[in-house]
Amino acid sequence: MKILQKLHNGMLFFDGGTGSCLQAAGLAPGEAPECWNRSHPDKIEALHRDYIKAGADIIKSNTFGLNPLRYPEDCAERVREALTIARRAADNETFVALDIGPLGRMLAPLGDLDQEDAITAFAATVQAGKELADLVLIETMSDTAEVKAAVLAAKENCDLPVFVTLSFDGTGKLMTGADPLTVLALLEGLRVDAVGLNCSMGPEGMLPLVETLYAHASLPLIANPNAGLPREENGKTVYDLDPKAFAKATKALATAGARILGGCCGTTPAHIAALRQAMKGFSPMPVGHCEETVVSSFSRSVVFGDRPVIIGERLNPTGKKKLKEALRAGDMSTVLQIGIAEEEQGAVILDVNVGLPEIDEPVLLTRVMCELQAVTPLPLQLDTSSPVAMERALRRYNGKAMINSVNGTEESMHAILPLVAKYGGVVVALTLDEHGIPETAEGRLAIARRILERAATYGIAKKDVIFDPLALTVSSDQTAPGTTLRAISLIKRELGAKTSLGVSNVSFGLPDRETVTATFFAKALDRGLDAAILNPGSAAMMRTYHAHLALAGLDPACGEYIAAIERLGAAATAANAPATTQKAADGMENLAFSILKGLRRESVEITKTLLAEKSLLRIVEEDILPALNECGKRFEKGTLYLPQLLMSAEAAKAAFDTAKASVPEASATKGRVILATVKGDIHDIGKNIVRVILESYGFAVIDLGRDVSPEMILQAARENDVKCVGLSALMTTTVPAMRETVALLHRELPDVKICVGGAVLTAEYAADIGADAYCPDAMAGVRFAESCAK
Amino acid sequence: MIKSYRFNAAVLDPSRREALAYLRVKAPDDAVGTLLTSAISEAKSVADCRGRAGIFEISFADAIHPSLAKGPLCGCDHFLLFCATIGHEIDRRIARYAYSAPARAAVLDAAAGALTEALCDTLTATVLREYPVGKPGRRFSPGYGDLPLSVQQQIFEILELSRIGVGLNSSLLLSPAKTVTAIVGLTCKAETTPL
Repeated sequence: MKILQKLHNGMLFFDGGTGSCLQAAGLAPGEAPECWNRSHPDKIEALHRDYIKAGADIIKSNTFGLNPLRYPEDCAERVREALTIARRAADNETFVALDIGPLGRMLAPLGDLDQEDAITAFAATVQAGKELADLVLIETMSDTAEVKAAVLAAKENCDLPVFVTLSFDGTGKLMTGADPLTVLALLEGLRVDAVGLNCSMGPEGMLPLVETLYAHASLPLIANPNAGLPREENGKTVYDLDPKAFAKATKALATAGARILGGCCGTTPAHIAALRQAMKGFSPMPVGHCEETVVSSFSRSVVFGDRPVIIGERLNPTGKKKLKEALRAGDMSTVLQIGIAEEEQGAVILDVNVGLPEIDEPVLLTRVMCELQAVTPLPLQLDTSSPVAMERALRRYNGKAMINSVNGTEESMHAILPLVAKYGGVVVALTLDEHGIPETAEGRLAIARRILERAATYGIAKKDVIFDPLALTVSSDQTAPGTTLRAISLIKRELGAKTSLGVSNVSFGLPDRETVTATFFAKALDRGLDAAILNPGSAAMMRTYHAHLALAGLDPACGEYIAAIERLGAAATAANAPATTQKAADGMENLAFSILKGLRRESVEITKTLLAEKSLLRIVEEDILPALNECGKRFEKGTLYLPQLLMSAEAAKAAFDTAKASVPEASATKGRVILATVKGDIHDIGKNIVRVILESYGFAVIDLGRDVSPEMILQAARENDVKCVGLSALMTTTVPAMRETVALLHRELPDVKICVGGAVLTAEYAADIGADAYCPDAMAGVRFAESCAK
Repeated sequence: MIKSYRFNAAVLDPSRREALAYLRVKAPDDAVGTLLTSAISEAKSVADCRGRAGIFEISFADAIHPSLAKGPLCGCDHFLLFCATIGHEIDRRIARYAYSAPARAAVLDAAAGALTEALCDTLTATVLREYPVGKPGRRFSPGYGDLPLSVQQQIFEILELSRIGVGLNSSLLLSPAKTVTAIVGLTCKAETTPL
């Protein structure tokens, strides 16, 4: 690989702007630069030649806007034409980069472009251009999901080196929220050959970002800035840095660590010539080397270091009846509520496990993962024993995931390590093998060593493996915890590797498990444990964690500890406090009054008290439903408004859940309802409001989410034996999808009743598409669901 | 010339009345009032306010839709075409609260809508200060009157909206959700008669 060799030996220089130069040559405003490959090939070739003459080592093909979404008819042909022009201009010393820009459509969940469709689109460009290019340059990217799709397409369709540059804004973030470290984690994981910045700012603006990248990167860095900031002069866009000033400021980026320099908007061959001149005799900085263990999401990264990392364990159906039911039914709201609660309780990574015997795990794991990534910025730990499910989820995951897990068996290493190598990630390595879990710490260390050696053969660095020396139950073997703790110390000392532990197992079978688990956790932290998978909702565990931070000097002035204890204490006090004895003026009982006022916490506490004197059914019939009916009536009369209705519904649902929890086998009292926002529609606030109100009335809602296909709704209706389906659509353009869904459901399940709602719908429209009812608001949804249940 | 704009949400002044109207609340009680105050503050703190805008001669209106020049832009010499968005993070927050605090989700959605409107006003005023080519008429958006929603596609391309992180899907939905595209007719100052 000639270009990588040359990069290894020294600096490389890209060419500069294309669009701005073509505009100067007569490209009309709004005219796509790539169209000139056909209409003015001579001018494109001349520009390439001018850049080569100015000293560019790499010229970018004029293919930035070429992709099959924009040019469905003849994209491949256009790509080849552009590359042919570049090749014709290039001499033997010049490299030609197949230039790939954004597709111009947002990927899900922000937009509707499926990730696999994006990969296919990028792949078409790569396939068309690879024979004539020396490298692939993916540039001006501002969304991590899209850049991942582009890199996968490049890696899967050619063997060329892949360079990536992103466009950060003035706040130092991508348009979709990622900071440089987060982007770096993703791209190093995907094993691109060089990474950096282009466009959106001048060299001075890029300087702090290059400095940050250099401090954390183990890759060569690229900087292709604009010629400063644009301004308008006589109706034309001009940039404020002339070639000399540009060269001077861009040289500072090389001093900060960039090894590949060039230009973007506003730069011309004169800028590149001045840059080459300024860089004469400059010795490049060595390529960085960073040993940090990092995982990331679409917007944030978590670095494993001094501060132990809390990984939430609650998204795992083992032993959780409600979550099991939700996963089987495809109901995402329960899953998301658990994840959000874990985040609020202090988890910084969420473990996601959907392993149930009778479900399609590859499909469900990916779905749950995507839904979680739409509501939480926390990085995820994908937890599955199925390599197929793992690959599917990893491919789609937006960021650099934690992978749970590999172990020392041949089968596991063979299946999982190639996935880590391809998609990136930090893999949790369990210290067990074909012979089981070694009884000694030394035995576990030996397995860890073997996994590390095998990982190295896949090019996986030590920083991307975290060892779990396995916590076993103390009630069955009293030496087990000691062995685990010694293994933590040994692995850290002998291998210099990071460790993680699922701590909750240790207390299995004992009374007051929390105390045992928390004490074990404290001991493990003392040994230098880097991460723990635990229940962040456990006050004992979080107290221990914050106490550890304070004692280990990781909490200046113990401020965090004090705040945490206040928070945990307030929750505990509230839980033990007697219910307030409010009585409404109109004589309603306490609970009804609290619900009507939307007081969630009070409603829960009063329900707990009420449970001592009456049954679940009586609480529902005598307290919750009358209050809700009153709310509903006032809402329908226009004396109570949507926010208040929702607050009351939240309080009623909290009371209902509290009462239901006291009766282990209680099921939802009013039957199941499916809700979905139809295919193509991503606006679901109305549907979410209906869900909350229906749940408060005691319906079990299976919330299929948004952008749901007719087939998926049919399948869920069939499998869950529902009588009532609610569909929402916001746009006139998505009503056809609603019509299609209604038709399919009526044809296949004639007994199922369908109500529809959404901003553009009317009763006439609803009747026209064949719906059984039109629901203008949430209360109408309740009335309809009640009528179906009768 | 088409330009990108960026605004600090702190300088925007979203209308409480408008947010309450979205929620169909006529007389907010204390709880709703407090929730709205907090939601407006949250919306402003997470908003990433951007715009793309350009002023065009009336002859360019056909490139968007033939109904414009004789319809809502009749009598105008120029028109302002713009897009304003408050960014992706607010969508995530609203989606998240839908599961953890639904009332807050509804109120934040309304607050974000009012903030987007305030951004549209500020963007319009800013552009017209820079290019005082005429007196602005009423603002309107695709989907109103004879202007079909399908012109989002043309507007998306003319303004190069991917430059500010705005996407358009096959159902013609803009993302982020709190994104507005709009047109404002401009008539020459000389020809406008004082009221």
